[in-house]
Amino acid sequence: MIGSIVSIYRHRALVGALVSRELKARYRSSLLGMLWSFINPLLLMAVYATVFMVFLRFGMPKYASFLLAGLLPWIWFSSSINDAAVSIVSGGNLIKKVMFPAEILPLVSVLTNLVHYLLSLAILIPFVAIYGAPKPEQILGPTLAESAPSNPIWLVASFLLVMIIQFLFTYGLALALAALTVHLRDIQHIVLNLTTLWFFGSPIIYPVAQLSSTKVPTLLKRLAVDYNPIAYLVVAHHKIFLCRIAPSFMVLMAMLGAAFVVFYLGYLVFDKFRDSFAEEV
Amino acid sequence: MRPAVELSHVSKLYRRFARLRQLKTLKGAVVRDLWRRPKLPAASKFNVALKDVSMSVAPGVTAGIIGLNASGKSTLLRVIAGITKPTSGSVTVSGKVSTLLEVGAGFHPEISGRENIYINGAILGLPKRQIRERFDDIVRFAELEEFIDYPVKTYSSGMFMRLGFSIAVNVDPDVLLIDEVLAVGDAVFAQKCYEKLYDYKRRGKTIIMVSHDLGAIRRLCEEVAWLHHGKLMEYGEAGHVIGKYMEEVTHGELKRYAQEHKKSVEVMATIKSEKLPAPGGEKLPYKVVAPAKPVQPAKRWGTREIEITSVVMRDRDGEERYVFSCGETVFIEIAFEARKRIEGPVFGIGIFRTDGVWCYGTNTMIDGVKVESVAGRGEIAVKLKSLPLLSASYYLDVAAHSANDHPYDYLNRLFTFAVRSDRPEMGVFRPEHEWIIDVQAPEVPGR
Repeated sequence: MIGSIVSIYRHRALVGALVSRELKARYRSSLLGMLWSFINPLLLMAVYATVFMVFLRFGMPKYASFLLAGLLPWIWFSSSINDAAVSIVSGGNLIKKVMFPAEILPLVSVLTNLVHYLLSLAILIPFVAIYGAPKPEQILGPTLAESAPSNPIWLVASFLLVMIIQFLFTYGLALALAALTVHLRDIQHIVLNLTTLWFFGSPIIYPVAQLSSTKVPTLLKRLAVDYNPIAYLVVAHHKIFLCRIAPSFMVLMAMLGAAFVVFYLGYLVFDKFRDSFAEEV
Repeated sequence: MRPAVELSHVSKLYRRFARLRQLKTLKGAVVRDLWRRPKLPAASKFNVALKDVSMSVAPGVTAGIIGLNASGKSTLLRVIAGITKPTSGSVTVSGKVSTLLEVGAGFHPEISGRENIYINGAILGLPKRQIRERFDDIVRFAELEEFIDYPVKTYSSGMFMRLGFSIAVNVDPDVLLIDEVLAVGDAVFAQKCYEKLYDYKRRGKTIIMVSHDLGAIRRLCEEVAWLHHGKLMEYGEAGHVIGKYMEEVTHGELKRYAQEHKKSVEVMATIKSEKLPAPGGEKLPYKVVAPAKPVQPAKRWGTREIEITSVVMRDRDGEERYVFSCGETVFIEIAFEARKRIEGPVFGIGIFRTDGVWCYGTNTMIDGVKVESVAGRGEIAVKLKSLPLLSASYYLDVAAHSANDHPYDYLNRLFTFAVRSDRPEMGVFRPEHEWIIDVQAPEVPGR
């Protein structure tokens, strides 16, 4: 794995070039161009906000802020793994005709979406500041919401840590999916549908607090909150951006450890299949 | 001196079957077949792309790789480039390698030529600084000065290829691998590409190229490797290896046509005669119909009072052969058996190109040759002093009929032969010709 990281570092110019190619190509010849990075998450948020506030009469105040804070990390994650799943298959030309480390392709998917994510954060912060946020107990439930707002430096630091955690987790999954899709093209379709399930199973459109007060079976609750890595990431975003409370250090370290394990396993799967890419693509 | 590229006992196997046959379920896929170390299954499950290939190319040598389709040429290049790993054996390459296996691999159609140069350069391993230095050279070489800021999708295929080639040759590697990509753009650009390659050679770089264009290989390469079904048949001095290869190709073709003929003879016995054309003044199809379809199934018709039993083609030395060169002397021998005594039969031949062009037809009556009568077994031959047909495959038709067109036995589209010519002439045949040159010397002014 060290060798792999070194070779990615040596190809950093290529990674940069490919990411900028993806960014440029995505919005090329659209009127608004890069502005779509801001508009897309806002529109998605507006869709869900309309459904839940107008049609379903969901009672949370300042619900739009809540939605946006959870949607952004989710979009980064889900777009990354869906792009990454086909990255090697569709990059077949490069794999077959040019010698270069294949792990770059899923990395480019994750990084490209990271750029969109960072751009959209620039919307989230003023949006929450102007529109306002729900109260911590409405998001996290009464027990979790007792802590006072954290020191801003620690808040920023914990956010960076959350990003690193999410990056490792996403990249690990992306590596495994990219490699497996080469051998079994069905995976891209499975991933597409599973991410939809995962979306609704994570506390993005509803707060964790809501889940604990309803009659959902305990097992499902635990699956959605306790055993769901995305739930940890989304809740961390809720805490940081809406409540200004940094997640506890212990939780962050546990998340980091788990993310590293996922990354390592993903890398193992990828490495296992690496030699077959040029033949199977 | 250390060789630039050294292969020792390199073999490469490809799995033959699509995954689907092996992997019934997702779980099976991951657990059974892929996760565990693959045991070496029976040899029949694999395609052998390379079989125990050992060769070493000295620095500064231009080596060509030749061979029929699917002989492992491209696999060999990929193994040298490190894109695929050999199943066994080892590959050592010293110096920086640049591959030109496909022109413009990795171009993104939506972004401009300029941006694609940077990305493609990075893919080929050039640092940004060097790309910036060579940017103008790349654009000038590709002759795309005016278009470099337009998206690549607006380029013509020629422009696309010029740009791809231009980037690849400007990477300036120690070892350049080229796969059949010199057919780029128009003749002028192709010439520029060759000059670039000559320039590489002069600067002592190593080039390994795959091509079907033996002329190009002969011009550029000092050494040639000839692959056949993954085996290295011969590696050495270019002219020698190309000669051997050509010999084998010709030999293979001779054998193929001889086999084809043998098959035709077997088929001949099995074809039933079709219904006779209606009697009366109506003309026979053989005489009337210029074949409409390019390839028709073999046909046979006639009453078989005279039955054609064999047809053989021979060269001037009496050797049985079905591949000739343009202008050769050819004998066509027709053996037959007459069930009863037949007075004044007529024997004929017809030659059709496989695309349906009727090249020639004649018979004994047209030529004023009288066959008095036949009974029992016999043989008739026609000598073509010169077969002036150009390079192509042909059908040979033979027939026996009566003087008033009653068919005994017609064999149609059954036998094939080929003519090979090393001159790139065009058309159907070569009339015997010569050029008469009578040009006046231009007047030199001031004399």
